[in-house]
Amino acid sequence: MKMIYLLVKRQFSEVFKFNKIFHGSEKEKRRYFLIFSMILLGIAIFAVYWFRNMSQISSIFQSSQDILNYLIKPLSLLSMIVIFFSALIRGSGILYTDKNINVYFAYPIQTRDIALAKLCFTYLWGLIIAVILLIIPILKYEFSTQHPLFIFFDLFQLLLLPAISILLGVILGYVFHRQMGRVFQSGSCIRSLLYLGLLFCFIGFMFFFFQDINFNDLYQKWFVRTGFLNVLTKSTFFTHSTEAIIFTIILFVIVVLLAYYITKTYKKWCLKTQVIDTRKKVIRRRYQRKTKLCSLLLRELYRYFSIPVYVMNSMLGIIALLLFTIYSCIETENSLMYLELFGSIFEVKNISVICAFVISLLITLTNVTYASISIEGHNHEILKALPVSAKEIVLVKYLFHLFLTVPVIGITTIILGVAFEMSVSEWVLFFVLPTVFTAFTGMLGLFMNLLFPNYEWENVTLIVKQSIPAIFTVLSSLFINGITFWAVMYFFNNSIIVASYVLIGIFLFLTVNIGISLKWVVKNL
Amino acid sequence: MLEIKNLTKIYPNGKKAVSNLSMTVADGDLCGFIGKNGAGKTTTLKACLTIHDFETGDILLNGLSIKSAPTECKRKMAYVPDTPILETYLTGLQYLNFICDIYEVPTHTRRKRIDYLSNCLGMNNKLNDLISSYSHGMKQKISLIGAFVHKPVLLILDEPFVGLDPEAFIQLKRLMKELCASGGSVLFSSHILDVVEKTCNKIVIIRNGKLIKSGRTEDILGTNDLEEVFMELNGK
Repeated sequence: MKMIYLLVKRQFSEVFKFNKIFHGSEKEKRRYFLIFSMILLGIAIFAVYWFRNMSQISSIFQSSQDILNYLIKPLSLLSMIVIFFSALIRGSGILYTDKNINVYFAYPIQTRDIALAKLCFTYLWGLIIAVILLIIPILKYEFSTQHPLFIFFDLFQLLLLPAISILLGVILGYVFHRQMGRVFQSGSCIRSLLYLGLLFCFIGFMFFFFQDINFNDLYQKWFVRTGFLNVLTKSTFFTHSTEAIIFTIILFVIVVLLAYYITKTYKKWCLKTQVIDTRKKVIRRRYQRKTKLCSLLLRELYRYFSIPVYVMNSMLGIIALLLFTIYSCIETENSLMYLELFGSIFEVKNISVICAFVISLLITLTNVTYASISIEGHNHEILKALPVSAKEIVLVKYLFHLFLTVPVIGITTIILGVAFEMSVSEWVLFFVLPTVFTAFTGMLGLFMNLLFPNYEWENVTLIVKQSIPAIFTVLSSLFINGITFWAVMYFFNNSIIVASYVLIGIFLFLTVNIGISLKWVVKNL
Repeated sequence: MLEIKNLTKIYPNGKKAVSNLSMTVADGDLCGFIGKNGAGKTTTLKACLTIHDFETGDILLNGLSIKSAPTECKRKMAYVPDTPILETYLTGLQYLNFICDIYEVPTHTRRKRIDYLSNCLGMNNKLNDLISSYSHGMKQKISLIGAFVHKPVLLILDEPFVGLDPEAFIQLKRLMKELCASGGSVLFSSHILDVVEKTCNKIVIIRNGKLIKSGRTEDILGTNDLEEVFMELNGK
């Protein structure tokens, strides 16, 4: 047990990086102190908001049976699904893709203890999710029931709930990882494209189909009336019956057996994930010479698509724009109606301008420059050793951003221009406005990243999602774009075309000025 | 010829990594740069490539200052770090093509050089694999191929022999001598004193950021071996 405790403690230390606050450099101490403070504040605000709302919702239901049927059972199923997918994606990674695992196998520690420690760590995360979702309804349920002693049994079920999801998720996650690993080894961009496809489908589903789903009918059909799941919901999940006790004991035995299976196969599966299949077929070698700029751009492209987190975070705008375009082509009348409705709030009749504003706002969500300097990581020293000037490096990063966004703007504006039957002059504004906005946000991101570079990251998520340049650039781009559009539509609704062209001029001017001021921050490269 | 004149480098935490260091690496020199851990070897090598700025002094390559003309100087230099930091998302060949593009190596020349160097270092069958699948030694080899492929005037290597198999070890020594024989020069740091003693015609020894001994190998050694000289100079 002591060994498991030590290993879990090490895992926490690795994931949450507490040591950076106590033993890091002054800069790291300040940064991590700020990050932890913000996270704790966010958690505190969320906790107050969540538990207050849950208490209010729970108090709507008077009878214990209502709380059980309409709150506890659906939330239990939701928590199991969330925990399962969390274990599938993240939990299996924690168990089977630890880079230091070989070192631990070399220590005098039983493999069983290593596996159990990792499972415990993953389980704690699942338990937090289950507790957040269920603790208030369960406590309310216990106070309203006539069997208060069952609270201990119900709390035991609460502890058991995440365990089964995590164990199944981890096993299936390993199988998925092994199968997909063979695909991903052949080209690191395939994983990014796959995730991009999933993101596209998810947003498309939410955009087109989510509002038509009747969740009550779905719950009744799939969870209440269906045979097996009906048994599941009747016999488990906090019903104070003999069946529930028997089912819980069976579930407990299954959990123990699955945990035993994972610990027994742990070392073998870990070693299997480390084996990389090398290519057998001969591939023709290409020695084609390219210009320096082209070569650097290609390098950016390869690197971008090899990092799924980077792609997923920065492609949101392009995906949203593509979905908007598809929707406008399929439901042109509806789309025009929404745009006219929006325009009527500001008494603006020109649809092309409103559409241009919408596209500009959407494309603002796609920005690669706020992480493009930091993403070099330790490689930036090698880049500095090459005969490439800082100006060329910065230019390539900026061009890459434009290379991603401008063609998409061009294609979508052509399609939308045809769908909305715009004139040529309308289409010019329709294309130029979003292009200038993406040029502005790209330059802003580049400036922020040069001002606050971070080459010491260990996890790319830190610089793509959680860094100062990322947060500042995204928020300020949305704010600046939103506020200028509102101002133009509110104050200049009668001369909106002219005002839009003036806006283009202003943002071009700002972009150029930020570009000029890069020379003061490029020394950080 | 590389000239380092009165180089001083102080890190932001106040540590003086290099203090008033002056040394020269002439054309044709194969210069070994040795010192204890933390002596300032890597800092000096990185300063030569403008990876680090420096407070005082200057570094000249064939009379051209690295401060005033960094890109021109770096066109004639190549660098291999102690830990191979590579673009893991590229294949070996893509990485080498990228380096050749940066150094403007013509197509027919790069094909010949890459084939020759990859044969020498035993990487011929691995060039189409992703760098992420390479072992440490293979990454080191690819870094070395990338450094030699454009025939630099000055080659700077930071502990290049770490992780190499015996054959690659021998081939690297041969390639370094070949480069020096054709008029180039090599400056490398190493902890393997035996290799430095037998390979280099010039040795520079530093301690705590200061130069303590520099000169031709035979002059430094005298009747002793390098181990004895090194221990004596470090006060042991």
